[in-house]
This record gives sequence, C-alpha cells and structure tokens, in this order.
Amino acid sequence: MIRAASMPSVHQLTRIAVPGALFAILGVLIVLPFLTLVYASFITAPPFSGNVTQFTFDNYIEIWTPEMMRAVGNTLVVSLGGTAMAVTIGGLLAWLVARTDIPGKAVVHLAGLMPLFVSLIVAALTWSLLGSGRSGYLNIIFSSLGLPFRIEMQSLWGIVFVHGLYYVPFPFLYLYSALTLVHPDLEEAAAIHGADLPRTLRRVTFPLVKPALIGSILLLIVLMAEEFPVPQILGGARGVETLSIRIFNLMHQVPPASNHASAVCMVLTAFVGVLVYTQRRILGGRDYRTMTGKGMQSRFLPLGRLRWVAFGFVLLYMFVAMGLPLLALVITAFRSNMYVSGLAALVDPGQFTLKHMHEIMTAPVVYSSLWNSLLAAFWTALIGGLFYFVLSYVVYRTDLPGRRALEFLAMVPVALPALVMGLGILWTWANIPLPVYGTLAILVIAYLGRFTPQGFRAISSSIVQIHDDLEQAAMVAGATKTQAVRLIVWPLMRGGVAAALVVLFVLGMRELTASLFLYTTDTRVLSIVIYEQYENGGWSAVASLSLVYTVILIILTIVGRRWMRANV
Amino acid sequence: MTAFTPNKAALVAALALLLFCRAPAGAQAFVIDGEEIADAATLAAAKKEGKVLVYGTWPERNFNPAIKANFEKETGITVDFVRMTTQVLFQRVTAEAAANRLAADFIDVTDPILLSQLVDRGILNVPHKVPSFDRIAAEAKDPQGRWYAFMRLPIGIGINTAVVKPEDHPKGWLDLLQPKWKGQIGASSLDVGGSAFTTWLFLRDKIGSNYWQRARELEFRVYPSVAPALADLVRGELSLAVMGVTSFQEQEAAGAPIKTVLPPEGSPILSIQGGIASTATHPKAAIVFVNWLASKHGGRFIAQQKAYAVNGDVPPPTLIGGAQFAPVNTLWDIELDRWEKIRTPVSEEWRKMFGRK
Repeated sequence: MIRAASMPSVHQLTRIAVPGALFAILGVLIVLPFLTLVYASFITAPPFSGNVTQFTFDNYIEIWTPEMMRAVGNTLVVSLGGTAMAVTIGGLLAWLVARTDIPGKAVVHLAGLMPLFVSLIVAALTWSLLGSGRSGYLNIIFSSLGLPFRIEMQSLWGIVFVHGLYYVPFPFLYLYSALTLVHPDLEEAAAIHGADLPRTLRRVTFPLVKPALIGSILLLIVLMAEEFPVPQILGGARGVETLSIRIFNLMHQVPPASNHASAVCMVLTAFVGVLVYTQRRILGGRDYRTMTGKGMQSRFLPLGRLRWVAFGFVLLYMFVAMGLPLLALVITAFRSNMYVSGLAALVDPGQFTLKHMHEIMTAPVVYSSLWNSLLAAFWTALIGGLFYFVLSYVVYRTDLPGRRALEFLAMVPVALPALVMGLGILWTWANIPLPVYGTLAILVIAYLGRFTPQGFRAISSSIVQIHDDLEQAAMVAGATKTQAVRLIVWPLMRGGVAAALVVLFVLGMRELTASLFLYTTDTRVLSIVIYEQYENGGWSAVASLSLVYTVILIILTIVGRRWMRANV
Repeated sequence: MTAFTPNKAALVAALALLLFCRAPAGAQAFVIDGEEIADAATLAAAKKEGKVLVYGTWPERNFNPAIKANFEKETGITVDFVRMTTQVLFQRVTAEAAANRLAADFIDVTDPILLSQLVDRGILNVPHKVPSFDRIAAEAKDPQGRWYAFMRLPIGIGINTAVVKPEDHPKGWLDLLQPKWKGQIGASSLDVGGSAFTTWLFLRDKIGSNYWQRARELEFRVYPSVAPALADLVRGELSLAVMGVTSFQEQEAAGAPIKTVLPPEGSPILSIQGGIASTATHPKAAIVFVNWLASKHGGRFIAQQKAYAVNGDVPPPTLIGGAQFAPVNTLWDIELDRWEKIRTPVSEEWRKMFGRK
C-alpha cells in the first residue's frame, strides 16, 4: 500500500508543472530552432538539407578574419551609439509625460510611440532618400540655401542615427510604465528635504526605475547588434559591415555558408549571455518595489517656464523622426521618377503623379497581405501577451525551480539574427510532423519566438515594481494565489501588459526577415510585399506602399495608445 | 450559307476521331498559332490539377505580366508564384526536400552551381523534353530535359543622363576605367549570385586581366544586391552602374533619366534556369507550364520583358528606341565544368580584393 506521505502534493506538482510547461513552450519556440543553429555551427555543411556532414570546430576558427574584427567594432559603435541616443530621447519623453506637468501630454505620449509606425526598412529607405550624397532631399535643400554642410546617412553614423531615432519606443514604453509606478511621495520627500530637480532625479527617480532602464539598455544593445535592414540599406553600398550584415553575406555566398553564419550567431549569443549576467549583477539583491499597499495619488512635477522648452523638444523630435520621413515618402510616392536635379524640381508640380499610388491601391495582393499581417500580428499579440505575462510572473515573483534558466532562454532570440532564426525555424518546423509548416500559424510561431525578449522585457519591467505585500495581503485575507494575481497584480499591471501587446502587434506587423523563409503565396504578409517592391527597384511603389502601411500603423498605434492610457 | 460538302464532313469526322482517340471526350490539345504546347490528355489532366506552384527568382514585375497573366488566361490553370532570392530559395528548397515537404512544382535559380546541386540531389530530376526541344540551343538545356534556361538577359551599362554629359557616355567596358568615374560606378557584389559572378569574371577574363585591380582603385561601389544600386543610379548618386539591362530599361520606360548601353565587346549573361520538381504534386500542370515557357508563343511574352526566351525561334528583345539585343549565342557565359572548378577560388580572390572576406 502506498502511503499518502510519499505522494507528491498538489503544491509540489504545481511547482514542477508550471515551469515545466514554460520550458516546453520556450523549448518549441526558441530552444529547438536555437539547437539547430548550435548543431549547424559544429558541422561541415547545412543540416537537415540532405547533406553529408562531419563534426568540426573549424567554423569557430575560420570566422575570425580581419573583416570579422572590423564587423565586431562596427557593431559596438552602432549598438552602443544608437542605444545612448534612443535611451536618452525615450527616457526624457517618458519622464516628461509620466512625472511632469508638460503641456499636451497626449502629444508627448504619441511622440514616444510614433516611431513604431515606421518599419525599420522604411526608416532606412527614407533617411537614405533624405540624406545620402548629393541627391538626398535635405542636401538638395542645404545646397540651394547656400549652406556649407551636407549630411551623409549612408555611413556608420547614419546607422547610429536611424537606430537612435527609431528605437525610442522601447525605452519610452518600459520607462513610462516604470515611472508611472514611482510613488510621488518619494520625490516629494526629497523636495521637502531641500533637493532640487536634478538632485531628485539623480538620487530618487533614476535609482527607482533602474530595472526598466537597465532592461531597456540591454535590450536595445542586442536588438541593434542583430538588426539587419538599417545597416544593409545605409551601410551596404559603402562596405560597412556589422555582425548582422556579415551573417547575411555569409548566408548569401554560393553555396550559402550557413555553418559559418551559425558560428557567428553563437558569438552573438555569448555576447548576450554576458549582458544578461551583467544585468543580474547590477540589479541583484536590490528592492525596486514602490507599488505597495499604501495609497498613491498621481502628482506632477511643475516645470515652470521650461514646460514650453520641453514641449518644443518633443515637437522637434516628432518632426525629425516622423515629419521628415513622411514628407520624403509623400514626395517619392507621388513623383513620376526619382531623379531630382534641384530644389525647384523637388517641388515641381509637373512631376506629380498618382500612378504609383493607383497601382498599389488596386493590387489585390496588397489587401490579402494586409489581412495576413493583421491576423498574424493579432495572434502574436494575444498569445504572446498572455504567455509573457505568465513567464514574467514566474521569473520575478515566484521561487519556482528553473526560473533563472527561463529568463536566460527568454533573452536568447535577441542574439539570433532574424535571418538565421528564420532558417532555424524552417529546419525545425519542416521536420515536425504537424500541419503547421506553410500556414499562417508558422509565422505566428516564428514571431512569438522572435519577439519573446521584447514582450518579456516589456511586461517584467513593471512586474518587478509591484510589491508582493499586495498579493500576500490578499492571500492573508483568504484569496488563492490565482485570485490574488487576477484581482491585485493583473489590474496594476494592465498598463505594462497593454504596452507589451501594442509593441507585439506592431512588431508582428513589421516583421520581415524571418517571414522571408516561411511565407507562401497564401500567407504573404505586407512587409514581404514591400520588400519585393524594394528588390524590384521600384522605390516609388515602395514609398506608396510604405505610406499606406504607415497610415495603418498610425491608426493602430493611436488606438493602442488610448487603451494604454486608460489606467494611467 | 456555305454548303456542307461530303469532303468537309469526312474531314471533321476524321479530326473528331483523332481527338477521341487521344483524349477524353470534349478535350482539346493546347495549340496556339500551329504550335502544340500540350496534347489533349496532358492538358486535361493539368486542368484537373488546377494549379502550378512556382518557387522562382524572376522579379514579380516581370513574371506576373509575362507568365502568370498569360498562362492563366490561356489554360485556366492558376500559377502560384513564391519569389525569393536564389540563396534563400536554395536553402528553403533543400530544407523542405530533406523533410519530404517540398511544396513547389517548378523551381528556378540564377546560379548554375546551385542548379547542379538541385539536380544532383534529385530535387530537379524529371527528364522532360518539351515539344520545342529541338529549337533550344544546347547550352540552354539539360540533354535529358531536367532543366532549361527559360529567361536570359545581358548585363550592360546604365548611364544617368542627367548627371553624365552625352560626350562622356561610355561606349564599352574599358571606358569604365577612366579616372573621372572614381566612386561613380555601382555594381553588385560577386556573391549576389550567378550573374554577378559571371560579370566579374567576364571583366577580368575577357576585358582585362587587371580590371579588378583598376575597379578597386577607382572605388567601384559594390552593392549587396541590385536594388539599391539601381536606386542610387536613378537618383543620380551614381553616374554609371553595371547590371542586367532589364532594370535599366524599366526605369527608362518609367521616365527616369537612364540610358542603356550594350557594349560592343559583348556582355556576360544572367541566366534563370529551372525545371520540374521531382516531388511535384501538380506534375501535369508543371509539364504544361514548362512546355508553355519553352514554346515560341510563351517566349514572346518573356521577350516583351526584355529577356531572351529559351526558344530559338523567338527573336531577341529590343531596347527602347528599337535597337535589337545581340544574338544570345554571342553573350559570354561559363561552362558548368568550369563553374565547378573556379567558383570557390575566384570568389575567394574577389572577396580578398574587395575586402569582403
């Protein structure tokens, strides 16, 4: 007879089952494709492709050419420079809207989210149009005004600038969520004790949002390190190679050097491992919980006359990040050809044409691919939002076994350039005997895996700020753990989760690189159609399509923003 | 009203009998302008299959109007086209094939090495001699009919006429080596695919043994794909560019200040080669599709997109302004044996020279 004492209790089973389920999901989404890449990095030919392969370490030795070292250096410049710029702008915007009495808060909030409207391929293309060489629109204007300077976006610094401008929404959203949860009593106490604004910021506000800040810095560094379209479009023609471009170049040799590309990916993964570890070291053992059982009333810091200076900064940012590129898109979409001889030709009504826009608006593929994009993005946001919430909760608010490993796994995709991740997903799912490959579901699966770091980071940066006293108080009062989460944690976190859902949705709408390996005629998404046009050299069509796409994303982001503000 | 004579009646009866013997009742062979593209039985089976799935590399803007639109209109068979770059296509096809999940009925690539790998792996291994087999040059087909070079186009020089004065227009390949063009010429990286490889090798083997060295000194701008080079040419960021002439012609037709030059020394060739997938799930539709591509009739639509058709009876395309392309057999190409021998060492050498190792 089995004694009751030897049977695992329900509690013990839950302790194993919950992390087990999360491991299983991450296993399918991330670990399997990742393992195919690890495997590929140790063999002599691409795996799962009908090749005879042998084990080797050579891939790891052969990748270290002088060009590779240069690519590492360029990657550091691009990711550190871009991160510094994006975090500064995003942090400032988040602080202004969350903690100060800046006028036009809706506009400031919109400014922080706006760059989500623009897919990076469109951003790089428009900045190339605006500021590359003698034919860049801005350079044409500078030249006709007799100004002595020109800008050159097709350069390493051009890549830094575009990254810095368009990655702002990540630090903005994470810091905004975190800043709205900072208890105003703390800042007020500092002021009462004589601290001025900079001192309060430095000694109180900044240290309290450190998890969100460090989290977004880490995320941005790695996202920019693996980012592909911007260095490809702005650096490609000038021979500027980053690691992602190196991987692209390796995969585009004939025959493709997928094994070397996989080895470079492993180098990137190791880099991310170091960053995640560093983050742990920096944040470890501290208490960032400010959302406690005590009541909180929102109060805003008066900026005085600086209010309008701050608002001016916001408008300037909006103009540079959105106004100029939209203008470039409009000019390009409605011009009969792309050659512009001077300022007069730039605004010449004789060049105006509706031809490109008409072609785009009457093409059935635009509508079918838009529908596919919306569907894929919707399911990515919905399933992802729920999954990343559970994952963040387990990692940061429980002592369940394996949570550290879960955190690391969640950050792995950030190190995997989408090109290679797409290939890993292809290798994995072509071999899994489920009717998923070739359907829209494979795109959702790819997006869920690829965007785990972003979704996880977005949700977890606010979860760490909610004091567990709140849950425990509920449980003392008789609530179950699930009830405590549902009634206490969830309502407090809605802002963070909503932000994550919007980010996931828009990322899903924009994704291109992994989709390239996985789409079929029935599951073509809008980003693929834009890329096709780009590859065809039809920049006017790209601009028309991008304009339509951007308007759709603007509408979606405005809708999402309203929702996100509901609980502020 | 015409009288119905006994002779005509006999003829009609004979024709009906002929059709009845060859195909199900009511079916007809696919014949256009006297050229039989598919017999009645194949056509009927193909129509029953209803579609053909193509994994291909020809840009959609050419493929759709030339092939998809006309083939669908004439046969009622749907063409689903998944367009990829050669390398992505190769990786996807080999991975799908290894998992027994290859969806494509027809596959084409722009690179002979990748083509021969697809053939060697049995992925493209359907020996099918099209009805026009004899009208196809030996170098444009596999002797067993497993693949054909359905679309070919010459690589030429594009000039931005708004930036370059008429007296400076280059006429041939050596003109590109004048110092005045420093930093003003764009070309694709050798690693872009078969045509880029052929072009770079042509410049060195046919035009001048130090061509690469000079190109490096003159800071030729080497692009990771054709699209951005073309865009920079049209914008006037480049004065000159080297690529498939179709790209220049399309921009010229759209009103861009571009002129196309086919140099008298000859041109290297860009070749799109493909065939029926061994695991095609619409094999009859794929046969009709391939026959149509190789026919004189289908070839005319391909030539309208400024590419040579595989069928030797189709006249070469014409440039805007009326000049005809040189006969296809005058274009410079590399034999498959040589490809296999030189591909890796030449690529290594080029990457070293242009700092892309």
